[in-house]
Amino acid sequence: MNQSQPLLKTGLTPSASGSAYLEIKREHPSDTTSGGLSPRPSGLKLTCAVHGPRPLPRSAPFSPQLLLSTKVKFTPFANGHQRGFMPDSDERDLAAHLETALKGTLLAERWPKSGVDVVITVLEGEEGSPSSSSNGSCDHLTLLSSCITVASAAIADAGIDCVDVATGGVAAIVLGASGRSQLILDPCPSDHQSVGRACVVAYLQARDEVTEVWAKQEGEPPGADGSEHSDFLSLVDGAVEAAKAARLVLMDTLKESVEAKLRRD
Amino acid sequence: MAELGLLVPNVELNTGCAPEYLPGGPPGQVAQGLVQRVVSALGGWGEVELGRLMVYGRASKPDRASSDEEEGMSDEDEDMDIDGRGGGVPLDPTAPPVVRQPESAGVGERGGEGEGEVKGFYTLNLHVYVLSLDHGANGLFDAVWMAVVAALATTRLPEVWVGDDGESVNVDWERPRRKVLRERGWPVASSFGAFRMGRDGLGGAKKGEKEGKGGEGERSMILADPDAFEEGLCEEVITLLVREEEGQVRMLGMEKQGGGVVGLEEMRDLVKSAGERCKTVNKVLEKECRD
Repeated sequence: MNQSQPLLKTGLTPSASGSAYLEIKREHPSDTTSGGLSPRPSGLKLTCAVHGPRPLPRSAPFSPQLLLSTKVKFTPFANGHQRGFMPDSDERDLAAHLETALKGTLLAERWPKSGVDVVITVLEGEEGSPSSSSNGSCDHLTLLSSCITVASAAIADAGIDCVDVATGGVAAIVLGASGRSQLILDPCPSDHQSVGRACVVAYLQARDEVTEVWAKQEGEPPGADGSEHSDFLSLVDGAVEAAKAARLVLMDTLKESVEAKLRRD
Repeated sequence: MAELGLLVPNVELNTGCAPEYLPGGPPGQVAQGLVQRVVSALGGWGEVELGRLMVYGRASKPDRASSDEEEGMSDEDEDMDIDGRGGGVPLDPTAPPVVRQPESAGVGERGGEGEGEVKGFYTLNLHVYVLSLDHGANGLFDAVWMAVVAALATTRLPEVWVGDDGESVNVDWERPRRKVLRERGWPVASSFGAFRMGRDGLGGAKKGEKEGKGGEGERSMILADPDAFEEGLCEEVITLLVREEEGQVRMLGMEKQGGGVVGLEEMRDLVKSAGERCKTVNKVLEKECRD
């Protein structure tokens, strides 16, 4: 795993109720074959802004719970191709999974007739290995896991009541160089030629609960036989381990953030 | 330059930067207005010349290579987050080129950077993405302009030429890349707001913690770099686009809305203040935008 410690900071968007920024740098071997106008994206940069809880418009029907609305937006320069202002299928998909993950953490009944907007902006997305066309699925999973972590940090920064903080973790079963399949935690999409199965979870460690599971499989899974069921469970377990590691980073960040707020007041 | 439309700015405000700007909708009036101001400021500045964007070749068919440059930015409250990289779309020599017939094609021999005929031009797409906003439209323009200048200053275009067959676009990675801007003397925008006190119970308000200046006696005050709240209370807003040339402050543009407080005397002070800001910002840009 050739990635450095993720950088997670809160409070970067003072105009929002809560905000967070996550950056993961990846070390890439220098690629001299394709020059390109710029170096290939070397990591993942996400920012999240939380607006709310704020009152629903008068026309909205009564809701006894907090209405969570998630949006994911890619910048035109995140992955090299431009998108229009209407959310495309990738953005909607990620937003839906993120909503599932976060809904399980919010104490929604404390905020009737209110809504909260969680907006994630992907400033730089990781590219999959250019030689493998099927890595698009793994890209989304690693992206979702980072979205979950950064959204939890922003929600905590906004001071919205939650049962726990959710963190995302990814595990994948890839075909190694030796031909044997192995379980990798937090895979870097560009490192692996073929990803057999991958899974992302949103995990609440204090309650040992999983609020979201999203698993994908590309083509023939390596070593497919009757052991598929235990394969899937070990995949989920691996993802939970990865989420626990992310939680350490998140807790450090939140401690810093609370200390800074107390110092200010 | 204007006819060919080679500089294409785009300002994206629907990013969740403020509660009223959530993603999912088309650009609103503020965003479109900002784009128009950037376009006219770039045109008035004239620094990005046609010559720097030319693509030469020997073939007979004109075509065009296009490149993206991007910029992410946040509000300028001491927290500039420049995410400027030159270029974004890798130029693949095997990809079919985007063909567009320029109306007044600059075809012909031009001295300087290339040999042969001019076969096309680079198009620069400038994307400004607002991450955090608590300023009004004028303060936002200051930050957007700074981001645009920083992005152009760090842009490096590879040398490309059109092959003999007229179809292929070739890249020469050995040659040093082309810069789009000069080294120094970049223009900087500064906004000011004039606040009139003593009306409707607003008298005696203590304002101007930043660089507030006294206007006419105690009845009005000029605020530098007002935020959204302050701008909403100001009856007059002025934006100055200045650059420094051999120690002199030169005005490239001025926009003024409202009136009644700022006259010629005050304007001199404002230009001086804008010149100071220009010096400060240029120092920062030079440091950060070095190769």
